[in-house]
Amino acid sequence: MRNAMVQAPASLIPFQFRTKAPAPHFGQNGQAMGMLDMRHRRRKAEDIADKLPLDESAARQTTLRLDDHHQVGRIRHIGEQVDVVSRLHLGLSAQTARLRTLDLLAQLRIPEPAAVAEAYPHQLSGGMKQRIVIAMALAGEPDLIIADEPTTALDVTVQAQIIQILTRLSRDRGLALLLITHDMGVVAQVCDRVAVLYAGRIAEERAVDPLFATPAHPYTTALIDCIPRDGMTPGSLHGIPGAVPTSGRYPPGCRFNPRCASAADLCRQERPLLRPLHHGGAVACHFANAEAP
Amino acid sequence: MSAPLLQVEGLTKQFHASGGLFGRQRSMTAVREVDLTVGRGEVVGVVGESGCGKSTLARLVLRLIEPTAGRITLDGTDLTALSPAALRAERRRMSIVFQDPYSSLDPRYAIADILAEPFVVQSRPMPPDTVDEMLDAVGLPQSTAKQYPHQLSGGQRQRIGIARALALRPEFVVLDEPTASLDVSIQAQIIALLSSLRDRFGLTYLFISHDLGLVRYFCNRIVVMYLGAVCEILPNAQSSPRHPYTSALLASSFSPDPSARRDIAPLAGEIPSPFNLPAGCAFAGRCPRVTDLCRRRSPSLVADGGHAVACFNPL
Ligand SMILES: Nc1ncnc2c1ncn2[C@@H]1O[C@H](COP(=O)(O)OP(=O)(O)O)[C@@H](O)[C@H]1O
Ligand code: SF4
Ligand SMILES: [Mg+2]
Repeated sequence: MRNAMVQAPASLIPFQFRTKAPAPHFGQNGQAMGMLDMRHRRRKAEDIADKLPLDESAARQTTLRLDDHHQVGRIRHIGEQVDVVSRLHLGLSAQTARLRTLDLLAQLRIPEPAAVAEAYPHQLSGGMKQRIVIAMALAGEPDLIIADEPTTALDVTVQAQIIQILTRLSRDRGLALLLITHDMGVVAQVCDRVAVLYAGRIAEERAVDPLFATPAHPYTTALIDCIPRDGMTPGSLHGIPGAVPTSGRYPPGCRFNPRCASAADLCRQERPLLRPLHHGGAVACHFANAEAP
Repeated sequence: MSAPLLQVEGLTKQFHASGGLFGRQRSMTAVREVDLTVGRGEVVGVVGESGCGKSTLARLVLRLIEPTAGRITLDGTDLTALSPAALRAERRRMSIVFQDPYSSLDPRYAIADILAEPFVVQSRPMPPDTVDEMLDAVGLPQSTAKQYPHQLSGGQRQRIGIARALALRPEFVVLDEPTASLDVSIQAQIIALLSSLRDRFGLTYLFISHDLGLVRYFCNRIVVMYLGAVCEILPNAQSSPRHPYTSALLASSFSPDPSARRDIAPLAGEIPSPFNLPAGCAFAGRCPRVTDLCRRRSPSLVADGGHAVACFNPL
């Protein structure tokens, strides 16, 4: 239920990995990989992090979340919450860590960094909290940031600010970014490559331009047709019939088959494997024009 | 525009919140002097970010809450001047579909009972076959009648919400973000359904959304709100914005097309607290076109043809 996220304005769950090289699946540094998933699953980022091939020091990976309600004792102010990351991961002293924190806040265009560092999370707006979580993620100098629905609870004008920050990070700092989102517009704006998920499986994985121009999987095609665009004639939006199956109730064969306009008997019986496409990328559909497995 | 079905003049709603130090009363204006006309058969969109007063406007228009000031006229009848009994009779002619199909359906009742509820509220006999007909109209099988909300998907629940809103055959329906909690493949289904129901039953819609792209697809005219007030009325979905806020909204929504990728120039800052708004234009603190005048005086909505804008320096 997407609504539940309104309670978690800091829904960006960054991870940091002290990896020698980012996992190849996520491409090179500076690349933004999108994971388009229409169904919101909590803790998705954690699941993914568990499965990533990481080097030794990855034992130090952390899930970062802005702490509104610190369990023990007092609530910690913003500065402390950011400091602790670089103290833990880079072994900095308290003083050096704070200087770094203020520098990061300034880089993220947070007005009056010193004052914000002394504030408590509940005193900040949603957009400001999201910047702080990004600052926390950056404090440990990661190679990869996983952002799980980082803008979903934000208003569009604030979403644009956060998207601008994330884009700059991946482009200017050579950070790999894995962006998990249900928003096709955000994927098209930010990502270099995209994995389209349906019912927990990858339906298609492509570079962003061919994905939108010549989608290979019927689900991707149908999904793109669900988004209203300028100049669309009224009545041309139909949606995809049926509903996304809930986990545990997946149909046999291709999980998209009950909603797919091209489904045949084979689709109801056999699971399509992810096969490489001629011009790069991969697709999991019996009838897509892929190379033989 | 066709003959007006709904007319709203100077509609204002203030809320009082006790809070702050020493429990001092603070008041905020959630909806400020809104003028609005909806022609019969039209789909008028209301767009704006969260907290700008869209849901408050919806509830005011249906008189589910009392306005602090202003007038609401439905087909010539002044709803603000009606006795409770007369108001109840008028209410039959209008209804609302809420955003969240999870909390708006009572989990203890079977779907058949949920659909019968509007008749119970109005103390009117329900014609036989009504439940089946309503389910059919929203594309659900008759077997749904015996089910409970938790057995349905989000999209199916919203179909029930729509069926319930149409039970008494209203003329005017307020749709308050009816697809905001659904995924896009279901959102598109629901929009297609609303569109066919409008043709079939001759409905007039006030369609509320935070999604400018969706509003531009679905609506004939678009009302843009910022901090409780109307800042612009676009005469059609294609007209280009003249208010700096509308223009920023448009620039902040990304189209699902990587070839349309662009440098983002986001609006600075966030929506200010609705308590203690400064004098002048409510958008002045974030506006790229702000001048001294904007900080001193509040621009009023001025219409030029069907296009109205409240700005001293429009685009
Ligand atoms: N019953 C209420 N009491 C006090 N404040 C309210 C009440 N309902 C809404 N508000 C306030 O009015 C403003 C507008 O709210 P709302 O109409 O729900 O906005 P929207 O639907 O555009 O998100 C918000 O600041 C909200 O907090
Ligand atoms: S009146 Fe001034 S501050 Fe307000 S929107 Fe227009 S230019 Fe901007
Ligand atoms: Mg609302």
